[in-house]
Amino acid sequence: MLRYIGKRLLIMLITLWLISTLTFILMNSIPGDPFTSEKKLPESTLENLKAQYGLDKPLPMQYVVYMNNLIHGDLGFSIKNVNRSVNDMLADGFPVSAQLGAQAMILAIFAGILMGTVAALRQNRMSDYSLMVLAVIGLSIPNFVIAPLFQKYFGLNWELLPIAGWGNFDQTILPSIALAFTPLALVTRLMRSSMLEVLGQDYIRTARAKGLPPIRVISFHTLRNAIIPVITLIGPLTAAILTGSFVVEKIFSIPGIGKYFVESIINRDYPVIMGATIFFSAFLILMNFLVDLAYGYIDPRIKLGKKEA
Amino acid sequence: MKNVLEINNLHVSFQTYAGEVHAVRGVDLHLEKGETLAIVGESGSGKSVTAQSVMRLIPSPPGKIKQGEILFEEKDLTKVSQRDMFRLRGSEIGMIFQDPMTSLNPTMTVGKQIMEGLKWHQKMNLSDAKKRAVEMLRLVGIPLPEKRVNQYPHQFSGGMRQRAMIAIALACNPKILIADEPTTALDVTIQAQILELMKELQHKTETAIILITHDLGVVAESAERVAVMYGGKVVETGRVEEIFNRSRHPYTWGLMGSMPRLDWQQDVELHPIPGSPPDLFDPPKGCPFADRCPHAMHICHEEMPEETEVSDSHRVSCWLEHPQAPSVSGENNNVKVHIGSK
Repeated sequence: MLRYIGKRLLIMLITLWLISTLTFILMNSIPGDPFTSEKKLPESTLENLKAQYGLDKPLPMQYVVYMNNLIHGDLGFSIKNVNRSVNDMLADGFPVSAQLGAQAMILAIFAGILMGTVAALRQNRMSDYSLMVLAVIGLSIPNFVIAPLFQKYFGLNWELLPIAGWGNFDQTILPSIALAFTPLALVTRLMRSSMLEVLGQDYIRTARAKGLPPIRVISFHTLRNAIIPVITLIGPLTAAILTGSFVVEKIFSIPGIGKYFVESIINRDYPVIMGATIFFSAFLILMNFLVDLAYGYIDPRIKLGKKEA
Repeated sequence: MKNVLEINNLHVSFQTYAGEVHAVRGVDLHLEKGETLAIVGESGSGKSVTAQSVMRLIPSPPGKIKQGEILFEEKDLTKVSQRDMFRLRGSEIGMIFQDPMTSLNPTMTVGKQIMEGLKWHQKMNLSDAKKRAVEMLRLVGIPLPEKRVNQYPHQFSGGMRQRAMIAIALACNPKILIADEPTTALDVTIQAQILELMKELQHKTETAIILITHDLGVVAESAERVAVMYGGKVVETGRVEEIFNRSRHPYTWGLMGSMPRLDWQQDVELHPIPGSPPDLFDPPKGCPFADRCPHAMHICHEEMPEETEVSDSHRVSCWLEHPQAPSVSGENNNVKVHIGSK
């Protein structure tokens, strides 16, 4: 097991290196640079600026310098937000993004499992049909459409919740729901089909033949087996919530990493683009790793790092 | 001897989009204490549905017990409440299934699956239940039960899983064990072991067994009485030697004739029964076997024959038993079949 974890960590580091290298190349192939603006700057000023940020050196040189700093944990300084280090920006933004993401994730998983289970148990009845219609809506409407609609109805028309901003819990409700919308639909649908499959299994009949009451059959025999596919979905879900957060944070003016990320690309703020990408990638890779570990714990048939006997 | 189970005039139907399927149409059976009753018949003859009705495990909807009674200790199981049924299932009547590979929960240890019923029915505490689980695994012949009790089903072989299934079914000392094709999915040597085990446990626990199978070898090996089912009805029932050596129903003859025998010459061909079973959407009004029966007469297609008592234990439903019917005999009737020692 320790050997397996060590091996996985090594692969994760290599993946991360590949991602940062690729991002570095792609980022520099975007036309323009951080100092491209409408106002024409004098040639000498530009040169001075470039020299200050090390952008006057040839690209391979810049790459080596950046990687060296990265290994030492230094992500450099933002070009647009003068005197702000990327490390600081990530440290400020992360708690906000993490709270938003976690709330959305918890909502998507728990409500999704609950709704999927209800739909499966009431298969082909009214509640099943209405939940599935909702799920299809959730899958088809992107969050950049949902979010403004939420703002208009819950914020403006009915004045139930704040429209934007960040600070108290009320302000987190609308963005969390908007962010959880699509993942929730995914979990609901997956849980329903998985639950239906498990309910038809022979071992459920065995459990019923033992005389266990339905609630026990469902909670001890069905749910645990039906949840396994949902666990595997958590990895991709994290990715969906991460990318979703860029848009949702922007729409609700939430000072998370996602907002910085979007702005940094528009501004070609090289250090921030690199920093945010590496940070998100590391987070995603780590989540996938944790999901794999959890998978082995929930399904005893999966033995991590061992060859099939 | 006292009957532990009595099924009278049982009718079970399934509602489907295409119409109502009459899977079981008036079955009468009884099971004596400590005996083994085999129910034989081809796929779709209603044998599994009959057994599942006893457990009230018929998926409902679409299945429904339309008529009849299932008497277990003077209680009619078709009428008891769901709550009472939960108490009976697993504790008074145990059941094992055809495919041991899929009949155990893959994410729960075998021990826990045995203990579950004990905790629920007998309100045992954890350590007692665990002791009993180890004891059950030892009883069904699983080596190192203390270690095996904490293992998951995928760590068991097919034969061991069926042993574990038997341990689950017998953990609460049920009075009746229903075995629905318990050996079909196992290879032949394991089959023999499982049958041997069931017989041995039956001696120890005095459990009555309903053995559902289409394997006549299994029947000869382990049953005392046989009920032959066809088209949702019991067409012939009797002691195992009566069914094997003195059977009276053309369908039973057909079953015997389609069974290969060791002492046959190489050039002897098997005799399958021609045709296919009746459509139970629209069951025939006469004898269900009439369309495939080589001895069918006009009356067979018109009216269901009454049951005729051949001996105290041997009953058959066939028009050939009528005094006016021509005398015919089954091709295999004179072949002596070796019947397993009991």
